[in-house]
Amino acid sequence: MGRKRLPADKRRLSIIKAAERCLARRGYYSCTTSDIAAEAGITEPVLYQHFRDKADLVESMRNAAVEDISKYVTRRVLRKSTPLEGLREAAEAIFDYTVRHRSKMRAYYYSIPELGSGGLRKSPVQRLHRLHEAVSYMLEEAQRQGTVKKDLEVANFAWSFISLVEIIYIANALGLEVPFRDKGEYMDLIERLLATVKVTG
Amino acid sequence: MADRKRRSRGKRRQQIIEAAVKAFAAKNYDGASMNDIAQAAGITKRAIYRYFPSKRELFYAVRNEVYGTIVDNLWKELPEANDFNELADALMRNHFRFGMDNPEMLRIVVNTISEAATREFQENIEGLLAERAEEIEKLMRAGIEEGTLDPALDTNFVSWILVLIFFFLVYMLAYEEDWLIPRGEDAASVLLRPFLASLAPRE
Repeated sequence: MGRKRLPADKRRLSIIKAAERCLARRGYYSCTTSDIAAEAGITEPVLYQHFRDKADLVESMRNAAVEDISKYVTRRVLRKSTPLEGLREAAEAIFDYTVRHRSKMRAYYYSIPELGSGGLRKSPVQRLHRLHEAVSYMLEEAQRQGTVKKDLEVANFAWSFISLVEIIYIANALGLEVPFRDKGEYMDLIERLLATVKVTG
Repeated sequence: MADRKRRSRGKRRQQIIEAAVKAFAAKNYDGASMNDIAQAAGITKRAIYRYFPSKRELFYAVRNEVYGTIVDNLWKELPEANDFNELADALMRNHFRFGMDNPEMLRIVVNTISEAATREFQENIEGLLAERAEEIEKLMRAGIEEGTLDPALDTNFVSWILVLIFFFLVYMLAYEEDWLIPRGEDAASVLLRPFLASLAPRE
């Protein structure tokens, strides 16, 4: 009884999924390419037909995760009509996505450790820079529309907003359940933060 | 005599850990060899194995040391203030300054986060952070009494969020050279201030 032969793109995806499960369960260093191959139900040489090495596989896994979450968040933000509503929605979407994809997001954060190797360390930093650009853009747009205070230091406030959003990933990675206990409480903090920059009256 | 022996054994162990912090921070877990660490500590590889049965055990010791140091440091030299905002600001500054002075430690934290996949480490981190969250919660309750914080806040929830924001800062600082974050002495306050302001009583 042979393994089912999958088309290359489907096989790649199934290896990426296997890597997510393996990393989420065992951490980055304890999860080897041979563990991932076993998890995917293939041999290691087959894995190497699709990915150069562990770094290449992990990078592909990360890119897939970032692309997926970005698409999801963007879709939800675009449904909102004002930039401030959009920012609130982005935070809620990230929360919802994390709750729904606990092990994928865990694997993403577990793969960040490769700080030392140039290639791998770039992508998490780039992701945060892009997030910062997007948040800053929405705040500036709100300033133009007169809903956010003109004297707000957008770049700094964007980082404050991002820290309140990013902790959801960190809590998930560390296995801390507190923020997931009460979404209403968390969203209240997001709303409070946004309310401090809002033009009132 | 036995006492002195124990003391010097403790000192040697500490020496190894310090060398290992530098090696793991520079080359990551996979890249740093026991040879590198032995060389940096100025002892033989065999001597290291007398203290740590494996590289993994050494890594765990390094990890615990680093997390403990960071968490302890957060609470050092707090001002005698009662104002919650001022105290939280001081905590953040402490944390920030420590991070700038000890980049290797931050890298270790980022390097070890994936170990949270194991239940043992998860519980370990949770315990460390829970203590800090409790301290912050106490400060928050005082702030509510003074009227600087909104009494409607769930203090337990918010104190954990603050602890996590401190944790996020570790990431920001570990990647420092690639960051756009505000730099300099009051950078910590710049990041935290909007969040603290949002906890004031609602008009």
